[in-house]
Amino acid sequence: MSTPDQFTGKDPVSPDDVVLELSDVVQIFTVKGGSKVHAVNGVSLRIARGETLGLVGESGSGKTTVGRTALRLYNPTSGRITFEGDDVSQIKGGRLRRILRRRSAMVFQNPSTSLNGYMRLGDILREPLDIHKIGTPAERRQKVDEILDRIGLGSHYAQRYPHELSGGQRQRVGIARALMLDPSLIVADEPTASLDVSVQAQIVNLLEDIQAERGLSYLFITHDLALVRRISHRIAVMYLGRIVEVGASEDLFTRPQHPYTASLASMELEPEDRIIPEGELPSPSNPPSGCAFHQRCPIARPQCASDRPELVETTDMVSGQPRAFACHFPGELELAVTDHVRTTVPAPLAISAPTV
Amino acid sequence: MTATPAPGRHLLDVDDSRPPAVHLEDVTVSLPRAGGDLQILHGVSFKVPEGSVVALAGESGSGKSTAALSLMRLLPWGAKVGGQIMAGDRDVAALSREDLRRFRASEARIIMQDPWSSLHPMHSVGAQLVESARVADPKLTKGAARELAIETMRRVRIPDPESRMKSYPHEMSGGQLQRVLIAMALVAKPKLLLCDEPTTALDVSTQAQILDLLRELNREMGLTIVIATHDLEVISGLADRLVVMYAGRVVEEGPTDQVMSNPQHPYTWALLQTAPRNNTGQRMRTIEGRPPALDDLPEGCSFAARCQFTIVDCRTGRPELLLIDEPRRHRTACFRVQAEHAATTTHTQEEQ
Repeated sequence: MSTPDQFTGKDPVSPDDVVLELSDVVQIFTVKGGSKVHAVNGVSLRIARGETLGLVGESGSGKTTVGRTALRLYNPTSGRITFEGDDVSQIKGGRLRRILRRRSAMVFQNPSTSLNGYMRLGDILREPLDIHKIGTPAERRQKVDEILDRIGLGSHYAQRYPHELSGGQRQRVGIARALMLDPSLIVADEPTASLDVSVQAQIVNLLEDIQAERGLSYLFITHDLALVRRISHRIAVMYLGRIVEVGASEDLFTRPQHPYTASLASMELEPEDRIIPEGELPSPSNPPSGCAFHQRCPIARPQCASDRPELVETTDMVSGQPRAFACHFPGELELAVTDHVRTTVPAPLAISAPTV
Repeated sequence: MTATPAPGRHLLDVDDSRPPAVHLEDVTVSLPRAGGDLQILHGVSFKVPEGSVVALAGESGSGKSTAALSLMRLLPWGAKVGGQIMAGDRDVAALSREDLRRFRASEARIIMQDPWSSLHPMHSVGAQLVESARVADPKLTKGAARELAIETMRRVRIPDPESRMKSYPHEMSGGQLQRVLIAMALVAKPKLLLCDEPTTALDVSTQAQILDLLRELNREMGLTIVIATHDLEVISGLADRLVVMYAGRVVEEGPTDQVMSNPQHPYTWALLQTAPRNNTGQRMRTIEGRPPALDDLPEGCSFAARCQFTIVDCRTGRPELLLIDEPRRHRTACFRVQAEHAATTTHTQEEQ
């Protein structure tokens, strides 16, 4: 029905200009009592300049950990993180600040807890500039005013406190703070989850506009499938610490290869066409043998319980875009309706110039 | 459970011959605040036909949760309630303490948004189910209550219910806990189940599982369900009727499929338009601005400031919720839609 470009309104990106690359990143946490949890188990992905990569999965799948490890908020157990050509997986101190912190930022899920309630918005926004010693005090103040205008609040908000704002306004400030250092990568962890639908759309527009203006890249972590389909160039699907499928948004949603992706994509369809996996995500501290999804998979066979499928890279038959999946029987579980018809809701009144 | 045979897939039309399970008539709720009372609900009226699923939809601050909670009089201390809240033939607002306790124990049950905070962390799930059953029916022996609890857990598809009875809430996942809470409501054999954002805290596939279960309980047991939610996706395919709320008022009410495919209030339309799945254009469509503060509601229609169809009348007068589709009981509170509707009806009458 529509090509990815038409649907998302996204500018195409050059896949060779890589901003962030994770290769075989493993993140193991030791929990109380000494047992180890493999939160992320060999994840590889790349994000090109100006690209939005959506990362989806259930809670416990490790998607947030990937985002945090990518920004070195955790120290990866093994694997390589390359940011704008530099290996940042083990660097520390001044080098870490200069190479990674200076050029990347994070937007958090809950803007009420991620802004310091005792600081004025102007100080919150100026803090990154102070830390990285950018500009003179006058220049910093000017930059704060500019960004407040850009996010649609106006420079007089610099004197306000976070509690004086609504949830949507606070998230705008969260985004503004991420933009202060002019980063090339923003990791957004469920940035719209705590907002109302009508406000969600405003935030998504802001993120898309900023991307168009500045050409920055997003790693967009979410469990909102309709939103991720809409905002991402490409989507990576995570299940129990591993990526099970990566591909261009529309390819993934219309022709899912992995049964877990198929079940996620089917949630967009009418209730009778949904493929609902039985049971729940297994515990990452005690993962099942073979394919992690086999116990819940409607097309699982004995082979799935014994050998784990590797992520195989191919190109999509229809769009020709690269994609990858980790399944022994790819594409076997098909969607009842592949060409999801997006209906336009008719307006209650004729749309004309309102007579005020 | 009630002996009502499973109704058809959709109970689309309000059957006036049977009394509604719930009937709110001009309900107002205000809460005491330092600077005077804050009015949360401004004359909310709707009916919930017996055996149907009715959804209350709206953004935060629209009053949907307050409306749902008022059905059980679960309102904060000091809340002032006006109007009539009828459950069957009784006025919930006028129940005595003891009657209210019995009503909450056996007739109406509620499931909250966050399953983690809805259960006692230091009692086993089984003990809480048994307690719930015996509160509803004091004549039930411990053994019988246990049987009922296990059977109900099986009914809501919790695997291995016998051993799960001994589990504590922290040992179970969010989806399982939400099932436990549904089971806890069901052991009381209630007539009415209230759900306040039942799936918001859950993952998509768990969400779908819980919604499936609710649908099944309604279709197979004839349980009347009222759901408050901000997620219109949740409602489609589950709710028979949809009540859309904005700033403490009902702005539109009608059969879900009709309201969602052909909304008759600008707010409902705008809300449906902003959903990512309907947002196919270059830019996401938004509703500019935000809902008015409850202590500073405009004089006219509350949505006028954000509406693209506003005329002068909208800012001065307040539209009533009026029927525009008699047989299907579709009501809207929009001057312009009402006027247009009235014009077309008289027009067709003249032609005849």
